[in-house]
Amino acid sequence: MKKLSFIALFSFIAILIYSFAPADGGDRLLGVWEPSNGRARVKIEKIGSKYFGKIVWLKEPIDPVTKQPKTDKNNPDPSMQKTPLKGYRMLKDFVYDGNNEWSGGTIYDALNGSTYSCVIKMTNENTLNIRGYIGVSALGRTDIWKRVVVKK
Amino acid sequence: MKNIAIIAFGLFILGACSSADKTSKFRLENIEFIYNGPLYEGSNAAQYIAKIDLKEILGSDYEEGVEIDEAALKKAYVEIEEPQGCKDISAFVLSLAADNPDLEMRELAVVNPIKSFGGKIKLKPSTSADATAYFAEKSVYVVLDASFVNDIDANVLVKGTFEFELKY
Repeated sequence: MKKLSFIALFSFIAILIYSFAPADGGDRLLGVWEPSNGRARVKIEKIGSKYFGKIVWLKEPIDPVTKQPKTDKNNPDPSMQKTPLKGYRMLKDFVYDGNNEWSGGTIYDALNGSTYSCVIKMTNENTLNIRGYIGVSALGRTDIWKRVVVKK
Repeated sequence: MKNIAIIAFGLFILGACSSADKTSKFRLENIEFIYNGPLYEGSNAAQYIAKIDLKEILGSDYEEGVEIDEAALKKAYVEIEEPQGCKDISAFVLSLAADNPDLEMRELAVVNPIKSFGGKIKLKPSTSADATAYFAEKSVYVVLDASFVNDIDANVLVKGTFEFELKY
């Protein structure tokens, strides 16, 4: 009887600890982030089980030639070149792998209309290493993004 | 004799190609996208989960093991239902996404800028975006991004109708 009570108490405490433990899930990626060049801000959201990042702010939102809000004029699909750049999902389809890493996604460079494979590594709550690459991850470039509203 | 053989071979190839594909339409009609307020200026997303059931889509043409060889968005339009007279949206972008890690999100249609309100707003389907892989999924996320030009302290309801042409 004493043994049963001990097991029940132990299970209750374990459940309690688990419920209040900080989430180690991928949702820590959610929020607004700024690339190192400071030219844009990207809001990372979740659709289904994957993570996507859309441009929510541009330092220079107006196209100097057309005097209109910038569009995705370098999109390789000409029929989609009128897509507004503000709101464009430049990060797509990331899956949380655990160990502070999101992979399987792509990053889009609106300056040349190219899409690269990408892996995201969170080095701390407010810093991301965003590595874009072609083929193998070793052949790529890493940019450091900072969270706009810093978490303490 | 050689010419006849070439013509016969040509006719055979033509016949084989034309009889391989059957065509059907898949229509998502008046599906609701709710943008929950308060909404801030800029792009806001709403989504609808569409079930893909080939048995239902193909009806009497359905056969066990049938696969969609080609799927393309042919028509897309939306209507702003609430609040009435809302003209605070400058653009819509329609995309598909799925939980399948091997399937990437695709933008399928866009309208920017919106030239007239008060009725159906037509989106221009992409000429190259391929939706075929989505029809192998059990469900897909239909994502409608709306670009708001002002902050709005209200919910916005948009209804969308999208028509796909399927070859199988």
